[in-house]
Amino acid sequence: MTKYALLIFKNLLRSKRRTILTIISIAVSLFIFALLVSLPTFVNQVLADTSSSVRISCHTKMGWDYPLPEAYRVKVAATPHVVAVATAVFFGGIYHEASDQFPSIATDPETFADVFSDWGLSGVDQFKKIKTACLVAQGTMRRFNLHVGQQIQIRGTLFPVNLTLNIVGTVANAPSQDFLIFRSDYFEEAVGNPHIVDIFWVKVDDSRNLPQVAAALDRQFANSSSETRSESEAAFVGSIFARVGIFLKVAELIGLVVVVAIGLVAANTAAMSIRERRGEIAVMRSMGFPSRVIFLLLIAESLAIALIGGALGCSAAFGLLKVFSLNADILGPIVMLRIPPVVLGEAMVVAMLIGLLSACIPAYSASRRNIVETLRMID
Amino acid sequence: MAVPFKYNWKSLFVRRVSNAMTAGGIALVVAVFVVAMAMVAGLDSTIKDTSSPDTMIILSKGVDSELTSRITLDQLDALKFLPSIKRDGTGNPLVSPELAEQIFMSGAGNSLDNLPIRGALPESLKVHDKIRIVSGRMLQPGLNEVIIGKLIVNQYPGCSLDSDLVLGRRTWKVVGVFESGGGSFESEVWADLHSLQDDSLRNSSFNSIRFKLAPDADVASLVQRMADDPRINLEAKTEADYYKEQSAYAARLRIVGLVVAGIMALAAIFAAMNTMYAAVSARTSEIGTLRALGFGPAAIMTSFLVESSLLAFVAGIIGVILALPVNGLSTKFNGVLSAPTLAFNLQITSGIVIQALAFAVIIGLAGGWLPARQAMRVSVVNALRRK
Repeated sequence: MTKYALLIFKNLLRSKRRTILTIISIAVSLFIFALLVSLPTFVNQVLADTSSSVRISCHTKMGWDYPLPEAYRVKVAATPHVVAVATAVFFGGIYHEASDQFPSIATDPETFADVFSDWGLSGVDQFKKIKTACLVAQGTMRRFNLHVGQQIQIRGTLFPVNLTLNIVGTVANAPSQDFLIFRSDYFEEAVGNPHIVDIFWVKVDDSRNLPQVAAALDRQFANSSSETRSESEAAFVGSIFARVGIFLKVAELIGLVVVVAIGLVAANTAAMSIRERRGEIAVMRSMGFPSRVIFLLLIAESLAIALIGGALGCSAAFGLLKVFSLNADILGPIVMLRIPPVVLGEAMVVAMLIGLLSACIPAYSASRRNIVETLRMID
Repeated sequence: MAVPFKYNWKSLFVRRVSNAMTAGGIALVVAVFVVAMAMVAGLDSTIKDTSSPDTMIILSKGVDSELTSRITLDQLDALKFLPSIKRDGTGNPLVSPELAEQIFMSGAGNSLDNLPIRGALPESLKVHDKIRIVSGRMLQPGLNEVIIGKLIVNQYPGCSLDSDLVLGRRTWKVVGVFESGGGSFESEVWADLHSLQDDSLRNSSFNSIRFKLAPDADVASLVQRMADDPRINLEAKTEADYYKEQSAYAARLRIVGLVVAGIMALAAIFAAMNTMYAAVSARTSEIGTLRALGFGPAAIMTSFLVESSLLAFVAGIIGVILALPVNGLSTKFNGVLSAPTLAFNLQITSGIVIQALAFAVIIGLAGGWLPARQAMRVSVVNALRRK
């Protein structure tokens, strides 16, 4: 076995330039493949994460410019199977510059932690006690280098008031990493009691009851001046991601094209390197190496090239996003993008297939070629 | 003396399969480039600068779009008779207070689109002088009538001439379709300002004010006045500046597209290099013969460069043809949560085709450079002896 490995290694070094060029082109292609395919895979993962949720988003049917009356809360909370209700109002202010925006959301201090108990909240006790308290997502903390205990100013745009907030805690595990939540009583007081709500986040007792509760909520407010649209958290998040669906499709398509293109390139290289060695292969066979061994040797060689390229490309992509998430502020919302391990796996499988398939035909024909004729032709 | 072009053309067919594979790889890269650029071009046209040089827009201070801006009736009253604002024949200022809102619509694949709806006055068309009704008529205020941009016709239920369109709390009648020579207005629904204020319970507030400048207006001092006057306290900018800010997102998208295409090009260059190195080493004796016939080293190098760019050029043409079906594909663009949904068509312009072919030739030249240099350095004696 070792002697075969050595032979494969020697063959790889035979035309160093070609081996290196092929490895680089495979690496570059799989680099871009991993990045592009991560995007849709990541979205699907977020959706899968929230699909088991027991939360409903009950929001206006008409548009974000048509908020719901806060008075709905009592009816929402009284609906059967509802465990807890937390309101959300988009304040949408600006921190320092216009480019420094992140969603600022006013919510119930008492119930927020119950509804979003899976979000990795810290500082909840303080949030319940201090009127100007706010909780900040980890990504935002990093982006602006904030720390717990700091006081920050948010300049209102939709609502012409400025907020002074005290950071009392963080949010670690939300689907988005870039937002801030503060107390709705502070919001109402600052803005002049508009009594509006953008979303009622409703927690139900069991996810099996979720469709039934959503239907009941919408039925309750049908034919009112503010009709609602209630959907599971997964459906809600999905409808938001579907808005960029075209880009996800294009990313997937390009990923596919890259794989086909790189397949062509690898097949070409394999064919070239095998063609050059026809004589040698004939000699080996006349010395008694069986066709099968020759075939496997050639395949293994191409596989080695593809896997080395794939490993390089994947680590580059992985490393790049690592660096980006450290310098989060450049990318804003894309901050949360990581390469899911499954994509790394996919990329390596693609590399393996490229290695196997590209060498298949030339290796097969080289291992079956008539020895005498080949030797005669080469000389 | 240059090596005849015919030699390169014929050589490409000697190693048919290998060259076809390389060309296929390059063609796919070029196709991706074309699709990405067609998308950016389409998007560019939706945020195209359709500004008039004498139109300005007023927003709240420090906001980056109409959607997050809020202006009160008092502020409007304080500014509308400023002398730098143009008047019409009867002395009324050419001022268009506007509401810019968004309505949920179900888009493709369960997406929750934000259909932009604008509340404006009949007089607003004097400020928006590029808006033209292409079918139907202008809406009449107070009758729940709307006109729609030509890009959203048939894109959503009710979005066609003479249909009933349910938006917000009421049902509107579509009485006209308009165009604005490109730009985002063509993705919008336009309604009567007061009806829309009423429908969305906005009382008398606005999102933005557009106005025409008087011919002799001093823009700088007008901007200053609006910022400093405590009764106004707003930010005025030329419409052109506003569009420039709005296009920042598409500019970022263009960069992403170029980076993807660039990285793929890099892979294609290495692939082309491989093929050309193989071509050079397989033809060492031919090169020796050419040299012996009197062709100089520079002629040999040029010849190989011509060959690789020819290969890439042919691949480029194939790539453009592969990408052609996406031309005219209509799609919609959504930004983040609160951004308006813009409709646009993918556009393969002649500029993109030329860029794509140039892109292909660059791949060919870059991939052929080192192998061609090696070909140039082939020693005549050794090359011929080896045979």
